[in-house]
Amino acid sequence: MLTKKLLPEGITREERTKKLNEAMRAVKPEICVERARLVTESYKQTEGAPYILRRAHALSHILKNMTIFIEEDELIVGNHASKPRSAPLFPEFGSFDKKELDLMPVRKVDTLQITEEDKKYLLEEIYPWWKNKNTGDMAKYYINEKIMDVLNSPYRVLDPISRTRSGYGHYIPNIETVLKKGFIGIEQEAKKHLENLDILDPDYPEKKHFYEAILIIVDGIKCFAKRYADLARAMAEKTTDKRRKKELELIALNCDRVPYYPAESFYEALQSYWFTILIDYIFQNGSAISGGRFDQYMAPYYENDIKKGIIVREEARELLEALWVKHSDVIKVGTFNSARNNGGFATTINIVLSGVGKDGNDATSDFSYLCLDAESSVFNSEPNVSIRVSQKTPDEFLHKVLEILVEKEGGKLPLFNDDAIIDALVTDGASIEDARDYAIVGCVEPTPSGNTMGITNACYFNLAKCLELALNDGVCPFSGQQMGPKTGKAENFTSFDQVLEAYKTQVEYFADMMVSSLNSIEKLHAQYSPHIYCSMLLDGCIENGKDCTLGGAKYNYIGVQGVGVQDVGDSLTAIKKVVFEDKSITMKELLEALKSNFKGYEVLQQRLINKVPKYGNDIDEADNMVAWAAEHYCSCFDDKYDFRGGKFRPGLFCLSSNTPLGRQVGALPSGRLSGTPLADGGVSPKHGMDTHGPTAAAKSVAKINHARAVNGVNFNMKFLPSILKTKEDRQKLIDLIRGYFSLGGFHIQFNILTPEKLIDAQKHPERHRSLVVRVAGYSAFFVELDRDIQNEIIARTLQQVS
Amino acid sequence: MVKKAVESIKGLVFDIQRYSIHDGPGIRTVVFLKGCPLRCKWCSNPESQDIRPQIFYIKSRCMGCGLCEKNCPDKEVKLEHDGLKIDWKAANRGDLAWTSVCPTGALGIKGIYMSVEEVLNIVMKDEIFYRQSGGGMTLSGGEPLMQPKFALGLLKMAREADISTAVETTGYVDRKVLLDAMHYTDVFLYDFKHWDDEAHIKYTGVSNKKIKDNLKILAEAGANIMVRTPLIPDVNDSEESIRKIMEIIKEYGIKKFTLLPFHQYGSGKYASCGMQYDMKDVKPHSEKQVAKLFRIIEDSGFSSEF
Ligand code: SF4
Repeated sequence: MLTKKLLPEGITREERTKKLNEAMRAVKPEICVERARLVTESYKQTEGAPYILRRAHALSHILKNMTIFIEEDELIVGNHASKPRSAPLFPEFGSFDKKELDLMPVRKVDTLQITEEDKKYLLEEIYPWWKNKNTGDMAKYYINEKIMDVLNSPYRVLDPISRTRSGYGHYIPNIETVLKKGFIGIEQEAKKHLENLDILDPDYPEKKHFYEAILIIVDGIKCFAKRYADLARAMAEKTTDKRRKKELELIALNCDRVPYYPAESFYEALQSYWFTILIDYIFQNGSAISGGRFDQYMAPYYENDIKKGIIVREEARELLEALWVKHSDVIKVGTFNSARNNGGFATTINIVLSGVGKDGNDATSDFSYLCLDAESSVFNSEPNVSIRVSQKTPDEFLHKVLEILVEKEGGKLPLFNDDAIIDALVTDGASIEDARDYAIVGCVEPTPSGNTMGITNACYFNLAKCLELALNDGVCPFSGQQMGPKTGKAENFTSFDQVLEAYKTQVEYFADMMVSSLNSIEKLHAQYSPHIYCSMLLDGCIENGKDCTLGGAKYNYIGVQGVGVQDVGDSLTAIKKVVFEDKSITMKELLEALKSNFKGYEVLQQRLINKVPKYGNDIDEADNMVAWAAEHYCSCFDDKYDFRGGKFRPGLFCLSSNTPLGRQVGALPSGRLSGTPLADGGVSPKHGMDTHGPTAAAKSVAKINHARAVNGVNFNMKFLPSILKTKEDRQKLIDLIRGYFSLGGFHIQFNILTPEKLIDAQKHPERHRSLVVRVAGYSAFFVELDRDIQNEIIARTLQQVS
Repeated sequence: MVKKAVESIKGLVFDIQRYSIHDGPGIRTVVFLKGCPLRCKWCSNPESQDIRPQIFYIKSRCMGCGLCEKNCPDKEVKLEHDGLKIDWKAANRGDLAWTSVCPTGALGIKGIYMSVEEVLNIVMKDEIFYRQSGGGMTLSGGEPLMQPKFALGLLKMAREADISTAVETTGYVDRKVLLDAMHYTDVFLYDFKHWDDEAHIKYTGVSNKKIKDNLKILAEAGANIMVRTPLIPDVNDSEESIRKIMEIIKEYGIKKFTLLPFHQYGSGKYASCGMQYDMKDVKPHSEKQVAKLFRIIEDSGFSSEF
């Protein structure tokens, strides 16, 4: 069978993918200061101009001047920083102090090399210029002082400030538009609007700036692609390798056309996709800028080329795999704290496969399978491939997903419930067509595609901390600070309802703080760091002549995640049972036990753990309490909007923030020890507590109303590979998934691996570079994770399966 | 019998396991009934054998708090430096409710009296998964038909609820009970451990005659039967041994046959019940050995699918 039509012979798909992947995985990530230099240069030149124009010029300046390169055997080109898999800096959003920079090469998570010279350059030349000019520094002018007091505590309930540093991320640009119309189409539209602007329009100056900014950016994009075309040609000329020469010429032809012109072939479409998403990452410090429904908008190009006979399937897979590897090039640098929260260079570029089409029919195609093939060959943490599952999705497709999971022994490929999510999105205000065309942002957040400024992961909210405050009259037991409102001394409570009331008051108090501070931060961003590039790629902005940071897009949200709802629920169940029903101990004794972290109260702790029903076992008494806490948290945002009219959308997921957030909370009535991780996932049963098997766990999880947590939930289930050995076994797991989905569950994610393998990976990271694990909702290279998180993964419940 | 009367029948259950995927078609809940007439040396559920409730002690979960020692009625348990010392005979006598003082669950009871209704309530929790997968309830043990009224009650009610029913049996039971059960059982998982009677007596403590006769009659009566042979090293794992079994069951007209490879997962439970385990040093078969025997079964025209 012919394996190549478009590409020259001389290397197989397997060989190329292996080479590209090995090269990518071998990179020791480092800090790249080039972007910092370029953006500073530009901002110095544009002082005094409106921020939207300064921003556009800065970005264009970067595209025109940043280092570009084409790696050996690459077919898809475009680099994020001056070296492969290196992290650029975004001084306009915030700086790193000397301590943070010194830590980077030695910290255990997201380790980054940096030279002394670069450190000096940043600390002496770059950061001083940005002092009080970057959004991180300016946050203090925007956020209420009382809130700031809480946010400054290391034991705070929430940390919205990190949003000021990250800039925009967590949305799905409309890549399809670029494939179809090219940036030339967008340019023409902007020009037309500019020509037709009404000088009497009260917003005339803002609109004028907005469209001018677009033109500046398009100019930069054109130049960027041309530079690659020139480079490829120059390299083609130099090389003596005939095969590579031909490939470089093809690359040059691609870059001549896309992304400025519409894509005409599958290969061009892939290159256009990569440039489009890459440029967004070059502009923004945010993560989780996601690819959307890749198989849907890409399939027509593939099918067309196959039909025309200019490409064969195997070769299309080779191109796809080359593109897949490229996703690992994008890494961001965060502070030690934020790296610990997210961990493992989680850029989380989500790509969605399968699901129903806009017409409601199954949209799985041969190309969806081809994407799975590519995923199984490359299987890195990026892209974060998600699977949409409707009742109409063929079992065959799911079998293939499970086969990959078993073979790779690493959890990726989370499954999402089309039927429930589409309903929930419609209820949330999306049109039925937009709802059906949803995709996943980052890890688990469903939003419409290409028209939504989602900001789906704006803040984590520590619910367990709120319970702790409720039991301590609002005082943080670690610091003694009166952090929350005075809700009364718990030892004086005479009914369980009083406990609930105190807890509710604390949650609502901090929820208001979160709403206020995030709204302030959105204003800050809108003022100083408009996001024009993204506005070009979100339906609504160009029509409205309004930047997406100001609410130009069709849909606007801010996603806020409650964390620890399981710990809260289990603790409330315990209080209710032992203090108010059995009365086996008094509240005073319980509080004493918590204060001493169960030292001297070990028997009580064991009783709380073993003799009180726990969430995750399909026991209503325990599950309903967690469901109540979830409902209460979500209801705090029922009437909350930001200044753009964007809805505050609650979610229940935590990536790996359950570990650091756990450090802020003392011992809990559930029997949990002080400082230990909160329950993972967001809605997953607590590790080791779900002893009734996966159906029971799934049913418990589905008792939480997922449609309320429309910003997404995360349910992790871990299996030993032995339970998925045969096709019949896998069919039963598919039946489990479908059963769980019919109960309204949004998401399920399987970790299929052996503990031995993970322990071995801790000892011999070098032997396990390829081991990808999902940490509560996204995947990462296991060996790149913090030790704490590694241990946590190992401890995760092994589902008891006979 | 009216429904109410059936629902209130009580039986002794030592475990209920949801999402069981190797005990009949689809996703199933296995209800383990206590008591067994056989004493197979390789038994992986030693806590199932005795027909009375008994104490079960998981040493690794014990925190050494001594509450059990303080609360046991007559010094049956003693806390020593490496865990409990239990006078098993004395401890298993009488009411075992005092064990609930154990805060860790290290000390517990195997065997709780439950009504048909109570068990069904738990079984039906996974109804949605049975509907999706064609699964249902499997009775296991021990020998579930050693508690005939209770077992029949469970099967009847499960049938009424329109879920799939299966019975795992040693076959060493009253014939009438077996034939009665047939009316409410979609598939029997019928263990046949050894073709040779002498060997059967040696390893299981009972003759295989009744088991063979019952199998024949059940097959003739038209029951859906899958015969299963636990594959035990040096006991019945020769090719010849398997062929002999196949000869016999072929004669009975049985079409489904499978092997249950030997494993050591039950070994820890012997100590937990104060029992002796004799097969510690026996090595499980390699996957290759098992696969070879499975091939022989397949080549002989048997299906190993439910
Ligand atoms: S009560 Fe339980 S935990 Fe305490 S010593 Fe006895 S068996 Fe061990």
